[in-house]
Amino acid sequence: MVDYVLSPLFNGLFMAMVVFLFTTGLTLIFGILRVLNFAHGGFFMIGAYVAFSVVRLVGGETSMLAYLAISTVAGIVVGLLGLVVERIIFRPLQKVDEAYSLIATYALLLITEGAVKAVWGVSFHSVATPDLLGGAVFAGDLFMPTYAIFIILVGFASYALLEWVLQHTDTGKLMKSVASDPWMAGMLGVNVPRFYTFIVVLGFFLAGIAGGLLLPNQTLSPNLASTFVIQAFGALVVGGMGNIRGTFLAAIMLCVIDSFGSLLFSEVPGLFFYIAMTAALLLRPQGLIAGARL
Amino acid sequence: MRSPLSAPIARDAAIALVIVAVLLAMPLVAPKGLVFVVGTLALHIVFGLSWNLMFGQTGLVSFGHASFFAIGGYFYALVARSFPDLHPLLGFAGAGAFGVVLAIVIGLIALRRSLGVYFAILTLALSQIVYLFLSSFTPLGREDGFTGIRRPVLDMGLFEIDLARGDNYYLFIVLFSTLLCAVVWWVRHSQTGRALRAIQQDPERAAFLGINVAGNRLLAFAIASGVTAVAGALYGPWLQLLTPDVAHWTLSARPILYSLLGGVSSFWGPVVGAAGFAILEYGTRTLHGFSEIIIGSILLAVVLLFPGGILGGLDALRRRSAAPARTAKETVR
Amino acid sequence: MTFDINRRELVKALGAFGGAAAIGSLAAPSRAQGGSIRLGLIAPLSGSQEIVGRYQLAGATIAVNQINQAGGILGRQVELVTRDDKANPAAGVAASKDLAGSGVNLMFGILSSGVALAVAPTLADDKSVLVVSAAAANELTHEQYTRNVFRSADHAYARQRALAKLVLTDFPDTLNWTAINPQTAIGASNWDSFVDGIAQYSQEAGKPAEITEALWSKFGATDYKNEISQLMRSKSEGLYCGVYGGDAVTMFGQAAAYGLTKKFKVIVDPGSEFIIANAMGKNTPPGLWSGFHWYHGAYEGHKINDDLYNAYVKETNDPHPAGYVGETHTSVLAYASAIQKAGSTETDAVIAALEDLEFDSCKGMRKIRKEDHQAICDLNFVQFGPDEGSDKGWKVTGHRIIKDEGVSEAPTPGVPIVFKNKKA
Repeated sequence: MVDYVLSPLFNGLFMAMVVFLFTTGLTLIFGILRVLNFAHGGFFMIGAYVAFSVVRLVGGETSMLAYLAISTVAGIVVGLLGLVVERIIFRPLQKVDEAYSLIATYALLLITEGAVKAVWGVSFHSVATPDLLGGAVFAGDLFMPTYAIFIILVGFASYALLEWVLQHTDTGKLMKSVASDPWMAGMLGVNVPRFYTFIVVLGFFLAGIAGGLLLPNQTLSPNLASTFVIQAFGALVVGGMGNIRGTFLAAIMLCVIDSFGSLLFSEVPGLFFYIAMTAALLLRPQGLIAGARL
Repeated sequence: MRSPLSAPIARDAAIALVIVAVLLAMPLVAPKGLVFVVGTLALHIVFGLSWNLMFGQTGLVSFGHASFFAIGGYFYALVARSFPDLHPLLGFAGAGAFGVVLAIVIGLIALRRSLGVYFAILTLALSQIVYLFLSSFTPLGREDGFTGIRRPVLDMGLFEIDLARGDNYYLFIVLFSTLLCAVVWWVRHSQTGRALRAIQQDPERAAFLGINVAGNRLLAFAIASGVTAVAGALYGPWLQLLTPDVAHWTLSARPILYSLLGGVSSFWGPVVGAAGFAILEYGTRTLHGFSEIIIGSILLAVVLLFPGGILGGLDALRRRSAAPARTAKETVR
Repeated sequence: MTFDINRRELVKALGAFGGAAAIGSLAAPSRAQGGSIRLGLIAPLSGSQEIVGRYQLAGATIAVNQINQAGGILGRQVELVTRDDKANPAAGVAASKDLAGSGVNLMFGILSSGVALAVAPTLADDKSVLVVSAAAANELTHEQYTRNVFRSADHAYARQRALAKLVLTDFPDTLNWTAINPQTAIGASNWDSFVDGIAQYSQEAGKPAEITEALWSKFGATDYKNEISQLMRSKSEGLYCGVYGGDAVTMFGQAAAYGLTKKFKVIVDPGSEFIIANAMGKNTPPGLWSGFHWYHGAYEGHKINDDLYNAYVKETNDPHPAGYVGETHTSVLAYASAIQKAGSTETDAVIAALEDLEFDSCKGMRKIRKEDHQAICDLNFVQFGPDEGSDKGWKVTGHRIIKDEGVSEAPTPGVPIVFKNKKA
């Protein structure tokens, strides 16, 4: 029971929240600017490297508070990079066909990889989980690392927060209106370009903070940039093209199915993610949450 | 949308002739390393052109085109190993046919249900499945690849050509690729091509005019996949090895980059894009550690300066000088 | 401590070799007979394995500088020409063709077995020689043997059997082993070789060991929790962690919460060298034995070793050269001896000279077998552990040299190795 149901369920849920945290910024930018940002993983990686450098700077501090503060710093640094990227890349791209943003962001992905190598080198690094999250919880035979529980909670909390902002605040309503009709929003007096800047900075901030939070889970190397990008695209599109609720549900669905699938069919780990993705796209080509923007 | 160039066959044939002549003369003047790069480029040109047949003509974005390249390659390699007496041309044709059949099956299920980004991501998911399958299926060599793919001997009835000797396989690749490019050109300029273009511009109006929208999209998908599968089949003996990397999404991104970089509205766009990319890669191959930044920056500069791709940009420059009254914005659109 | 071969080295390499090579390859191919002797290094100088490529470049650069300072080979200076294989077979073939086209017929390097196996069959056509400096796949000197390929480094079979010998000597009561391995041919071949060694040596000691089926994970996986959970339930006492490099770092990082390293009495690793300890610092699994191409600390007092180590530290400020540094250094020395012996750089003469060549290297004498072109050399192992006191957080707690006395198989070029006790 534990081996074949609870354990894969827990691990799948953890993976789902990793993918969701990675994807939030991507979803936001795609939902509003319609830019499929290939370089998202590159900025996630920069967030992780920034967090790593700060950890080194403060002498390998592993308190919970430091961990959260450092992740926020990583988010802010990457958010500022987002400001630059928006000005010199995304804004000019608004005038041309969406497809060209693919090349531009692919080029940006290459540049982030090159930049990370130039600044931090190519060695592998790893950062331990904060002491508070270093242990594990046993529920009967089910083994749950505290860090994984924490990430699952953060994932759910982030989802709840974003959902609340979108549904119940003025900013959220503004976001939705710009997402569904930027021209009309502009006519109604919204400063759309400035709003786009805000969204890009926010999206990059989310990428950076995710990089910091997930740092203890992954080996840090310049390959990190493309690690989650395909799963993220899957969650984004299966969810319904840039809406947060859909992305959240899709990430859970795909990762949990994959976790069970890998147990049943261990020769090809990861296969079931894509099988589930294919099936979902064929059965619900409009996405899990159709029609809604954000 | 600008109406496509009504390229006269004579002009395109002349351009093609010059390119093919240069490629055929390569082994006489260029070092082997460069010849290898150019042979690979010829296959990548086919790869890019076939993708743009879908995108430039019908607006269909496939994000898993590399899987057909891989499927064609592994199919040929497996057939050549299992039936060593089979005529190699049959093997190449079989790979193409296999690609077409597979594309029709996928297309029948997928194209009716999903379009646009959904189709793109669906093809991405399918190509990941192909990639995972190739990297874990033992008879195909798993992560380490399908090794020992031989360059065959062509039995031409009256005489034989041993493609393993000298530059024979290179010349064979160039000529075969030319043939495949000609197929793409022909489809693009035929009755079907016109129907496809009508669909790309306005699917609803095309349907109203009695064009079978779904059928023609399927046709474009099948032809593009088949042509790519043949290119993949040619690639196996060229490298004498196939690894699952040929099905990886980074390779699927290539034809998209080629087409957009060169310009999607011209037949020659992917050719220019693929060549440009190859030049960038070859030029930075000894700049260890800096190649990503250099390639990335140049790509970015091209996109920001020439939003219609290199050919689109040149075209816009030409038209701007011809009609100075026009604003830049119009030419961009 | 981070590994900082970084920009200084890079720019130097660029200036010295990259630029010259770029110009050289644009010019018409020429075999600079009277001029310098050009050796071509093929290494992953970009992409996911760049970290190893930089070690390989460093070792080769140092060897070439040392030879030139000592007057060159046959009175001619040596020039290093570098090409990037991105650890990708297609790029590797392009690199070797590019070198051949630029008139460089003597090549060495190559990390990835996939690249080596792709390049090997193309060499005869180009009349090139390749001395493999790292790729360990057994196939290279067995079923895929070709006359144009040599390996001056140790291979999977010898290394993993030596590792088996080591653990059975040190931990004679740890007799039940399991593994977590990547789904690659080298992953399978390492494990088969280790099991082969465990079977033979435990039998010889009169206490036959038991092998529990290994777990297989995807190469480059990001999550090992399902595998770790399974390992936690295993009844084995010894863990062979075939997952290597960055994957091993991810795996051990995620396993920390489970207490995986406490569960197993002995943990061994086929060849991540310093990577795990460098990345994990004070979280380094205690007592981890890791296979090394070359461990400088084991050969202190041997001049070639000391000179190489000092040159490396001076160049990079990194006190922990990975074994790859020693192996490309060795390949250059092998060429130097062979060219000296042959009195020529022509392919056939160099091949003849490399066969049965005995030469001194950073880890002592090596002999390249005539039959299968495999070098017989020492096997190095290092044991790591955490070190709370130090800045880097880890220390070397032991090292071992295992002499190749009956560790390697008999040469059978063209024929695959038959593993003992291999499960179907």
